[in-house]
Amino acid sequence: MLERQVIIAARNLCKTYSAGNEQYHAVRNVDLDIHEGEFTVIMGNSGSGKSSLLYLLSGLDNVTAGEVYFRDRRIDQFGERELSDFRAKNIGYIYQSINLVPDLTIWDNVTLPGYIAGQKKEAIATRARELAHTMGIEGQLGRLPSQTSGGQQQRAAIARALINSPDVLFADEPTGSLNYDQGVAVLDLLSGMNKDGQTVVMVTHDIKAACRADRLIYIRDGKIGGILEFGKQGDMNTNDREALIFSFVSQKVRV
Amino acid sequence: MITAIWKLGKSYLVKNKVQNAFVALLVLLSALLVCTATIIVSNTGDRFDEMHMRTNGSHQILTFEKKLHDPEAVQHWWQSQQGVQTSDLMRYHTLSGIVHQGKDIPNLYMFMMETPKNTPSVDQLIVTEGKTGVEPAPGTIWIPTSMAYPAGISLGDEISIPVDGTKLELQVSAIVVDVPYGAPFSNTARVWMNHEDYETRIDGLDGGSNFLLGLRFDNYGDNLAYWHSFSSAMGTPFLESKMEFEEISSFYLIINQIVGFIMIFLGAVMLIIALLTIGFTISDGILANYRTIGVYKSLGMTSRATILPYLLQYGLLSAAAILPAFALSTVLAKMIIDLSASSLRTPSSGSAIQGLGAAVIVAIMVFVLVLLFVVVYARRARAVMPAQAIRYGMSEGDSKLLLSRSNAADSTGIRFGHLPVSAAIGLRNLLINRKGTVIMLILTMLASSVLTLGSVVLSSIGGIQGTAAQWGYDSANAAAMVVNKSAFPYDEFEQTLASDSRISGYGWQGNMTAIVQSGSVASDQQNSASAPASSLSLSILEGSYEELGFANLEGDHPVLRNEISIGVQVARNLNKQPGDTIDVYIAGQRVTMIVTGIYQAIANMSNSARITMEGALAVYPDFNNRDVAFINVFNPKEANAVVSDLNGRFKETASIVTQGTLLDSVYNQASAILVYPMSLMGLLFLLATFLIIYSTCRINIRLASKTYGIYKSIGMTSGRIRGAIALGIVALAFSGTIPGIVLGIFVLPVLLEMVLSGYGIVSLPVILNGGSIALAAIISVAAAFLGSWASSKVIRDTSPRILTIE
Ligand SMILES: Nc1ncnc2c1ncn2[C@@H]1O[C@H](COP(=O)(O)OP(=O)(O)O)[C@@H](O)[C@H]1O
Ligand SMILES: [Mg+2]
Repeated sequence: MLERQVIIAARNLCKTYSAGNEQYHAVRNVDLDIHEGEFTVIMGNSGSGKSSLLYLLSGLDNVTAGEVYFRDRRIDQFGERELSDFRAKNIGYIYQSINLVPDLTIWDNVTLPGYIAGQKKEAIATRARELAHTMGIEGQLGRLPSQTSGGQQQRAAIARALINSPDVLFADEPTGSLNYDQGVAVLDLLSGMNKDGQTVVMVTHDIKAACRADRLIYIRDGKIGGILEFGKQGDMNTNDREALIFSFVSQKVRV
Repeated sequence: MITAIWKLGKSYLVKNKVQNAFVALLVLLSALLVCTATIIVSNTGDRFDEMHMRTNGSHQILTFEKKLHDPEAVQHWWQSQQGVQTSDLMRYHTLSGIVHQGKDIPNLYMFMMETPKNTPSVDQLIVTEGKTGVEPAPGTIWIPTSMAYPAGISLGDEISIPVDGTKLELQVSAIVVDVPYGAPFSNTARVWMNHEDYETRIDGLDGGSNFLLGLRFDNYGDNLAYWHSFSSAMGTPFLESKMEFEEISSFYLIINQIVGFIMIFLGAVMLIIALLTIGFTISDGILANYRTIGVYKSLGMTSRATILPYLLQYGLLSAAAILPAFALSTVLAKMIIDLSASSLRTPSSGSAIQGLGAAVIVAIMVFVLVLLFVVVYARRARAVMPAQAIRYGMSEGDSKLLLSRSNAADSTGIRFGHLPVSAAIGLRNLLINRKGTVIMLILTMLASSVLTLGSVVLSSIGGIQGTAAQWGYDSANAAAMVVNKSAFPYDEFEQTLASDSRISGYGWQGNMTAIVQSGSVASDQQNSASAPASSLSLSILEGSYEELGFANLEGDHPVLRNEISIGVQVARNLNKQPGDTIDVYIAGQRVTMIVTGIYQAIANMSNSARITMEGALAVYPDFNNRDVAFINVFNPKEANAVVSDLNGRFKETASIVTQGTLLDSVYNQASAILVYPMSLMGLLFLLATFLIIYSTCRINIRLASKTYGIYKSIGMTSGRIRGAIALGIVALAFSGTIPGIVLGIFVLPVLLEMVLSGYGIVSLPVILNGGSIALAAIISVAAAFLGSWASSKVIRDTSPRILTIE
């Protein structure tokens, strides 16, 4: 396999929440490399710390201890301005709860990060139209999120995450609030973009979804419980991948 | 980035339309109050000063009615002085008893003036209506605005005055501003006549003509020095009447000062409330939008940029509020100024308003303050961490806060079962947001205190009949003012009074100018002229001050010939207390008198003193000045009959009115000027109460919407929930009105006294009217109730499902 560039790296990463007097260690001493062009999937039980880890890797939350690198820069030491800039330009984030701004139209939601990143208006519009086409939400652009379906909202959220062509796309259970067909469509989009070179880090519970990845990271109690490399889709037939992932995960769960 | 901020600011504006509109209205109201007050206060002196300058107004006006000086010699002496301008020596004759359109106008003394043939150098007249030439055409007169406006006399009207058993009928051909006699509340007016009319109809009347001389000093402060050399040159001090500049100017300013001062104070209070409300609204907005703000930050928005949309939102809102507020304030201020200085209004001065610059600065300050508050309160948005915000919709700190709030509601013992359900819900609603509750409490308190103050002021002025003595007047049942001293039959009048069995007693009062000096300083210093000296108006009463119903603030009335009671202004200037001695120069003679009491009097701004007739005669044996007779009757109900009988016989040379009529005319003018600004401020505060209670309740209801949704889902009617919330607010408002009433009765009048102390009133004679105070309280509680009721409409209009989800 070709030696690929590391784009996000975590070293000895920890996150501790304190609620009152109690402390909760949601992420414990995680070391992790994400490579450019890679489709990484993160699995684990509910409450195991997957979302927490994703927030730390994407600079949406501050770390308790350890280091997070974007290429060779430490994002955990970024100041406010650098951090904002990083969020605007280098990452895209898709939430299970979608989180479109309810008062803005789909179009405004999609284009907003473009304006935040200070892009030219024409460039933003061109890119937004292109993404709307890809996501199949051209008919919804003038509507408010509440006037569209969940699947359309999530596709708008993906368009929003991609508007600034981020280096890494994070997705936290992107299909969790969608029905089966909508979920498949979203996954198709993600794997399609990955084929075009987009780095994707996705949290999921769904083995079928995990099949689309190159690599699986299993999290247990905030620690990496195991890593499974199975290569690009197509290297192996889908049933075999599913079987492989299933046996890996069920083995991890049992331990 | 700009586009993004603009988009967000716009979305904030569109989102909570009602809330935004109310915030804007609140800013509008407070800006309106402070800007109006600023303009009024900056116009307080200006309008008068400008007119006094423009007309080359006099500082002192001498009237020669007692034939104690040769008027021409006096004028001659003044003309030869450097730094003093004199008017022509004008002939006049006083008349009263004017009838206009069949109606008597009581309490108005007219100086029927022979209009000088040359344009006057001092006290030039300014025409507001009609045409003037050098003098009025035969058969016509010019009357001052101060006479025309209150009496409703218009250009072209005929007035009729009884003289010598016939009627003098004259037509008004011009209405003029006559600065020295034009102040509000003045009961003297100069009526300008054609000189031939004067010659044929007036000069030959009993008593003949008197003379009037106006003096304008280049430096008014020097006047005492001039008078000093006048005394030396003439061998006698000036013994006739002299009207001082302070008297001329004071009443022009009084209403503006009162209104302006109260407005500034209340405007500042309202502004603070508005700012705090904006602060709370922002905090609430941030809380409500926490998740969205988290999303913005996750999209790479900086903390500073998260504040900017709020700045944009409130910047636009307050600009949209302040601009019309400013425009409105110029109109409003002009209305109030015109109302209080109506007699100075001329076609050209009417539009000129000073102080616009100051008002602009105030408006900008309000704007900046709003932005400052936004920055301070929006700073919490900076602390938003995207991950936590998105996950919980609030920061960890806030989730603890909410928890502690609902615990607080529990820990105060407000449990269902302990209290009726409605009471428990109403109280819990107040405990959700304690800062907001405190603001609501303060606001209802202020609103009711302002309304109470308004009702107290009006009932005090309205009840001036009962407190006349505390305003420095007598409390006799009737007064007979001698209009034409030389023709008035004093003996016949006294016989009539003595023989009327309905009359219980009477006393004469005369006035003259005296000079006072601090006794101790005068004796310490060799040159007494350099000791602090000032002139004052001295009242001399033949009869008992006690019986005629005068009052002191402290001490007693003068009874013995060496006793004197002094106005608070004099007491203050010379630092005198009852028991001290004071040197008084009466007709140039120095006497040392003992201060027996200190009183306040709105007339002459308490720069006056009272002595007995014996006291005056002891220094000045020729004193024979009987200006007014105060008359008491056994049965007050008969006062009117007595007055009309007396008028029947003495009308032509005296003006005889009951105390009631006299005070009514003062009351009518004062209340006409005060009612509008006071009720306006009351209204503004009611509106603010409504708005703030509305928006605070809205916030509370949003915070607890889940709870209300649950109540609704378990079968409580929305009417019952809303009723419970309103009940809590009414209880809150009610507990606010009680200290509010106390404030309005005892504290705010102190503010008024601060303004009025410059006018010689240090203790406001307050009359309380329980009914109107209760009404004030009820109105403010009602405003609060309406605010909460309107705000809880969402509970009715929203289904339990949505309430619980929100
Ligand atoms: N702000 C917080 N305070 C306390 N505990 C938290 C906080 N955020 C997350 N947690 C806890 O951290 C653990 C990991 O959460 P999360 O990363 O969301 O797990 P996952 O995404 O794998 O379900 C959970 O037990 C969760 O309750
Ligand atoms: Mg999760």
